[in-house]
Amino acid sequence: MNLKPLLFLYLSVLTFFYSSCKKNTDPPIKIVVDSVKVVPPGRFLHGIFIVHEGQFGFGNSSISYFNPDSSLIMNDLFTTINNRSLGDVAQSISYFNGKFYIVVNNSNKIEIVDQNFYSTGVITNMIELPRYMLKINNKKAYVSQWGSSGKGNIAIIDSATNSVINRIPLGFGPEKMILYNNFVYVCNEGGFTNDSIISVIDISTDKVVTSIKVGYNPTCIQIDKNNKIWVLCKGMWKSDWSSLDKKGSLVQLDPIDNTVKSTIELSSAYTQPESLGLNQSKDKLIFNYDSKVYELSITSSLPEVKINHSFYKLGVNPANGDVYATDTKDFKSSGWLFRYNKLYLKVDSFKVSILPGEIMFN
Amino acid sequence: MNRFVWMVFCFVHTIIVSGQNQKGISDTIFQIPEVLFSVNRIDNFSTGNKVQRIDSALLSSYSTTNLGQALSACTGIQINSYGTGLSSVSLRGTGSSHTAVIWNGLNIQDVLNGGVDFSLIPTGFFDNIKVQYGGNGALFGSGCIGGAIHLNNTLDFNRGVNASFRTAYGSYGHFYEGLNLSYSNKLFSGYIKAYYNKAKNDYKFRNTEEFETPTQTLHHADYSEYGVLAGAAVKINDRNIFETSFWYLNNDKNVGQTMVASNLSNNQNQSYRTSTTWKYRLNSLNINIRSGFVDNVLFYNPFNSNLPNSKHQSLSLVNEAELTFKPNENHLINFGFSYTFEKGISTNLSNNAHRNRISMFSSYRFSSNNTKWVIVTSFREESMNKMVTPLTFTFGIERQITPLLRVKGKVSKNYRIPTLNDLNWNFDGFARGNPDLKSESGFGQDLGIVFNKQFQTFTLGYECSGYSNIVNGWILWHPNADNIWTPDNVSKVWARGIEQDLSFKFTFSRLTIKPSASYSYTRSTKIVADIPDDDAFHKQLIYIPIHKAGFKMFMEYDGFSFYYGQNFMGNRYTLVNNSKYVNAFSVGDISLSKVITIRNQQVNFTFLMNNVWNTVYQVMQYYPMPFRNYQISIQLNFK
Repeated sequence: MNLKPLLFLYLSVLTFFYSSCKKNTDPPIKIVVDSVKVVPPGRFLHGIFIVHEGQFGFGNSSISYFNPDSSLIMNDLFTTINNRSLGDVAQSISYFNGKFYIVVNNSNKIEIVDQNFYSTGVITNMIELPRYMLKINNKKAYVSQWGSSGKGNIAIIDSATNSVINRIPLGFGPEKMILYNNFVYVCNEGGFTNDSIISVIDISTDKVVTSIKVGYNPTCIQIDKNNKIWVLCKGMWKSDWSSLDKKGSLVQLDPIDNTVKSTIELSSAYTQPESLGLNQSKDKLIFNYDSKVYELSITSSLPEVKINHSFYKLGVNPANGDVYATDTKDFKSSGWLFRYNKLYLKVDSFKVSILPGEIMFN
Repeated sequence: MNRFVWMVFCFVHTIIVSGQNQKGISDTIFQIPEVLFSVNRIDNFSTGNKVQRIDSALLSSYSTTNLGQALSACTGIQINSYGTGLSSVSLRGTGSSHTAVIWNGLNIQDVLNGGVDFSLIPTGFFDNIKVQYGGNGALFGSGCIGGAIHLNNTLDFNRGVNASFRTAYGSYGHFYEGLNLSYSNKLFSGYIKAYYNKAKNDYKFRNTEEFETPTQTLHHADYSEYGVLAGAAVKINDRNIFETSFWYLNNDKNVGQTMVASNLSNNQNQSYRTSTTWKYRLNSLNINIRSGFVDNVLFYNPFNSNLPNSKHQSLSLVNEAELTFKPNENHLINFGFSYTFEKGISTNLSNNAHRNRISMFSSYRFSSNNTKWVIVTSFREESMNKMVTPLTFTFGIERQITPLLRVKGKVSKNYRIPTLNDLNWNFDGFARGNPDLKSESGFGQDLGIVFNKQFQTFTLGYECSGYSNIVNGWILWHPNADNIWTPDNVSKVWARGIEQDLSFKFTFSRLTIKPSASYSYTRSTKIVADIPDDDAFHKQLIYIPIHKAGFKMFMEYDGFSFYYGQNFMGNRYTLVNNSKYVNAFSVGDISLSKVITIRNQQVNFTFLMNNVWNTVYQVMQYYPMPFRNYQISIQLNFK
């Protein structure tokens, strides 16, 4: 699909609004702080980003930008603007110190773009199969990575130099992370083998302070309104792959004493859960499982089917509670982005690019 | 070895071939000579097929390269080359598993994946190479839907001792050493060919896909390989000939770096192939009994220690018996029976990954006096593990309308049985084979005209072919409802196109000039929607160029020969919905060679220049190709 007409249309609309806004409001102010010119926010600062993994080895990963108000979608943003491939298997995107950091798993790199999506740099040194990035403070961010030789680690990115300053060794397949009260909770999702540990890192020392055993292969993590941590565990296959030896589960942790409070086992012995979201009021968990979207109230132990559609990843817009989910189709033609409101009624759907995965709200 | 041998014709053919070798020239690049009597199935029964024979002198210039490089430089066919690593062939808008590769009558397509890696095969091992455009499953069995590549060795008698030794040096640490010995008297013929080849392939390229597009050096693309091919024929008496040949290859290759990723691995490939034939002739009756054995092992060792090493081995045993009967000049009849056992041994395959294949085939050729009319019908029925594939057939016809113009037509039904990976892939949490797969079937039509005009000093040749080929039940791997990848006979592809070849030959005393040009138009589209809202529906298959063209110039003067080829490949889509493509490119190659005769011994100097115009291009997306590069070689011939 040719994106140029779309981009042109979008830019013209944007320019029109931007210039008309400017006329009606105050004259442009140039603030000079430490002789650094503060530029107006870039055109992609606010919006929803869909990270497309693309086909493994084909280098056709991409980023789509979606504006939920205008319902305008722009596919293949990075390549359209920078005229080169984003790389092989883009995993996630994070906003850190005014820039977007795109974690490209199989290219072993993190691409940095500004708010207009112009490429400004890349981090490659000490990056090995990176997965997700989490802002710790304005000085540093953590990147979970599977590592190229067995065990994974957390790479610490220094914002001043945009380079890896240290690595914290972890278990197999470090995946998603959350920050709570000076501690980072990291899922060790198993990587190329199996694991069942949540590692807890003290951000002041960058050291692992404790390890919590949860269900097998914990992959996603959220924190609810009562400050309880929820971990989605995928479960573990039998060695002959005939069925799940350990089924998927949802595990509740209490960060006060770092212990498991409850475990809710999922029913199927043949499929694994994927992608954990939290509703706007942070009292309901939403996840993909068994070709459906389930909801689990934090006070219940019985997940309910809410959407009867097989999705790959999902995300909840913190602004209004809309649920977004990606459908990968046959993994080689265009995927789709579906939007539901907070009552799980379908709003609309959009054709995106090959193999859409994670959804990020900024 | 060669089947359907009529010994007398074998000798005739041999003399023709060796005569050509001695002169160092051969037929035009595009036209095959209309050989009146020939030695194998492709020559006897491929009436209606377009067959291109690679000029033997040109082939000799490229004998130090691999088959993928030689075919892409010397023919117009599409070779998908992953940088210096793997390369595969695509004929007439189909895939690599739809192109049979026939070595002396034995199909060497891999039993596990259906493909042949052309970068592993040394060009110098073969005496002649033919490209057959369009399928002919009735003649060559499974996998011959888009066409076939025929690699042949000749065993001839009464040629005495011949020895040649070739050394080549090229850019990026390329070194080649090849040896060729042969001896024959009136009862025995034997040859042995051996080679050693290595390269570092540490060439520079501009990485257009990285931040600030740096110039980088390709790493981890080195290889070293060696191999031997030996053959012998014994004439027991006037009626019986016994032939045997043996082929061993050992390739050690590092692959995996692209512009966007580096999934590095080391591939060790070892293959043994043998073929033994007993030929019996009684008047107009000829019987061939042949047995072939292939053992192919690939050791795949990823450098990422998270992934396990694996071993993939395929074994096949082919036994064929055929009878050819020629009551007179007008009729030629052939019956045959073959039994094949195939087995796959791999980390990823179930223990029962083996099968028995039985097939029966028959051909009949009628040619009128002066071969004004030639009509061929062929049939083949195959059963695989007792499952019978539909009857396949070919009906071909050729008519010499005027002395200048010949018209060819062909209708054929072809097939491809599923590979052992398709059928027997063990569930690994991600993918699973499908034991219920059926064979793919192709139904194709070809129509061609051949125009040849000889003037006093020059010859004009023009060939135009149109074809249409529908492949039903195209096997595709896709995720099922549980997100497990499995193969199914879901897709249907329509490949059609036009090929045009124009060639000239000018002769001015000792100077010969042969310019030629070719153009092909290929549409290969998916004509069923495999999934709801399938945006690949009616779209061109990935990596099949719609436009392809080539220009070639071959000149010879007094032992000096010059070749220049410029090939153009159009845009190729990289996504099934055709929303992205890899750019068109045009690459030129030059070869210069000079033969000097010193006291009856020949010395041959060859200079190759690849990518003459320093084109930045990619055949497969993000696999960098080298800039201009060179090779020199010296060959010593002793008699």
